[in-house]
Amino acid sequence: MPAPDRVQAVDPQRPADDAALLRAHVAGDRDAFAELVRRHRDRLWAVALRTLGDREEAADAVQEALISAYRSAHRFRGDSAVTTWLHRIVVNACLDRVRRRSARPTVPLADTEPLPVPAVDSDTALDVRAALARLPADQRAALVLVDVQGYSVAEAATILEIAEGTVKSRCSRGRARLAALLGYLRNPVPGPDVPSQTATTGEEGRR
Amino acid sequence: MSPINDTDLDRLADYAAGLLDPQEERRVDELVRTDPAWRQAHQEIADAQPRIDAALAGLGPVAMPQDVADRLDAAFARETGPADPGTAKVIDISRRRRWTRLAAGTTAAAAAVAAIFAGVVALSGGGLQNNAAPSSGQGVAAPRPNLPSQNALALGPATVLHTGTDYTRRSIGGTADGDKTATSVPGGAPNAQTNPDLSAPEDLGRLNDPVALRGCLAAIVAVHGGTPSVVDYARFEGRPALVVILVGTGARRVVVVGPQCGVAGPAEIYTATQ
Repeated sequence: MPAPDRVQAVDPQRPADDAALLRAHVAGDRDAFAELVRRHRDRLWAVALRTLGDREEAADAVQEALISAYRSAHRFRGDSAVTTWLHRIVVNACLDRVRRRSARPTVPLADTEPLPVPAVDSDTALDVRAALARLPADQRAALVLVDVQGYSVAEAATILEIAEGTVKSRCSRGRARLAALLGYLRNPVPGPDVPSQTATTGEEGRR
Repeated sequence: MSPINDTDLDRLADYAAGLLDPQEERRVDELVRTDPAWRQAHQEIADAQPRIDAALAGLGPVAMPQDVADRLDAAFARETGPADPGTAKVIDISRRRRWTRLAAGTTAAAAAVAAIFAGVVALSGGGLQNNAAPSSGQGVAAPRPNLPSQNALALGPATVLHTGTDYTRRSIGGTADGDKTATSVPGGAPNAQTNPDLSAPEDLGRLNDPVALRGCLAAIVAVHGGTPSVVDYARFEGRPALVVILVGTGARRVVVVGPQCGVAGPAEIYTATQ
C-alpha cells in the first residue's frame, strides 16, 4: 500500500491515496471528496465528539468543517498530510463552537469559569467524559488528539498549529485537572480568584 | 500549608512534565521539597498518571453514527450540484441525454442526476416510497428506480425530486413543441437561477398528494405517451412547475406542467423533445 499522499493521480484499478483524491476533487471528480471523508470520518468524528462532548454539536461541527474543506480544497498546498488538514479544520470548527457557546451567558462553560476541583470524596468524582468536558477547550482538544486518539505530539501540534511545547503543556495541565476532577487528588482546593483561563495563558508561547 | 489552586496545579503539571524554565523549575522544586501540600499534590499527580491513562483509554474508539454519515453525504451531494460549474444551480436537462446514452437506460440517468438533490422519492406502481434521510429533510438517498412493484401501472417507476430549480427554455434545451408561456412570464426575462426562498413543494402543494401526482402523470402520459422517468418539483421561468421527463417513445421528452396538472388535463406550460 503506498504511503499516504504520494500517488499523483487516481488509478481506477487501485485505491487512490488521500492527496490524489483531493486533487481529483479539485479537478472535478464528483465522488472523490466523499470517498476521502469516508476514509477518515470515524477519527474526525471521535475528535469532534470528545472535544465538544455533545453529539448534535459534534455532528454540526463536523459537517460545517467538512463542507468548508470541500469548498476550500483548492487552497490546500500540501504542507501537511491531507488528514492533518482535515483534522485541523474539524478541531477549529469545534473550538469555534466552544467559543461561541461561551458567549451565551446562560451556558456555564468549563473554559471560562474557574475549574471546581472536587473534594476527596470519590462520590463527587465525575465520569471521565464529564470531566473531559469540564477542561478548558484548548486543553481538551490537545488531550483528545494525543491521549485519546493517539496522535503524536508533533502531529497534534501541526493540527492545532501550535508549538509542540504548548501541546505538551496543555496535555500535562489537562491531565492534572482531570486527575483532580476524577477525584484522584486529595489536596487541591479551588482558587476562587483564579479563573482557569488565566492559568492557561502562560503556556501559549512554549516551543 | 499552601493550598493547591488552579494556577498552582498548572505549574505543578508543567513541572512534572519538565516544561518549566529553569528559574521557575527551581521555585516549584523548592515548594515541593518544603511545602507538604505541594509535595502531596506532586506525588498524587504522579500516582494518578496510570489511572488517567486508563480512564482516557477507556473512552475507546467511536464510529461516526450512520445518520451523521448520511447527513454528510447529503451535504456533499448538495455541494456537488450539477456537473457544469458554470451553471451552478441550474440543471441542464439536455445534459442528461449524454448520461442516458452512457448508461443505456433511464434508471442510470436518474441515478446520476438524483445525487444532487436533497430528497429522493422512488415512485413505484404501488405508491410513493420516500427514501429521504430523516434528518431535517437534508438527506440524500440513493434512488431506487427499479423497485419491485406488485401492481405496476403504466406510469412505471420514476425518480421524484424536489429541487426548486428554476428551469428555463435554455436550460431545458431540446426542440420545443410549443411555447405556451410566451406572454405569461411576469417580470420579463426568465430567471435562470434557483431561488432558495421559494419552495417548490409548497408552491405545488396539491401535487404533493401521491394520488394527485399520479393523476397528473397519467394526464401527461395520456397526451404524450411514454413513461415518466424523472419528476422534479421545481419552477419554470419563475413559476411553480412540475418538470417531468418522459422516456420510451424514441425521444426523451420534457414536459413542464403547472400546479393544476391532472385537474383537467396536464396544465402543460412547456414541452420539448431532446
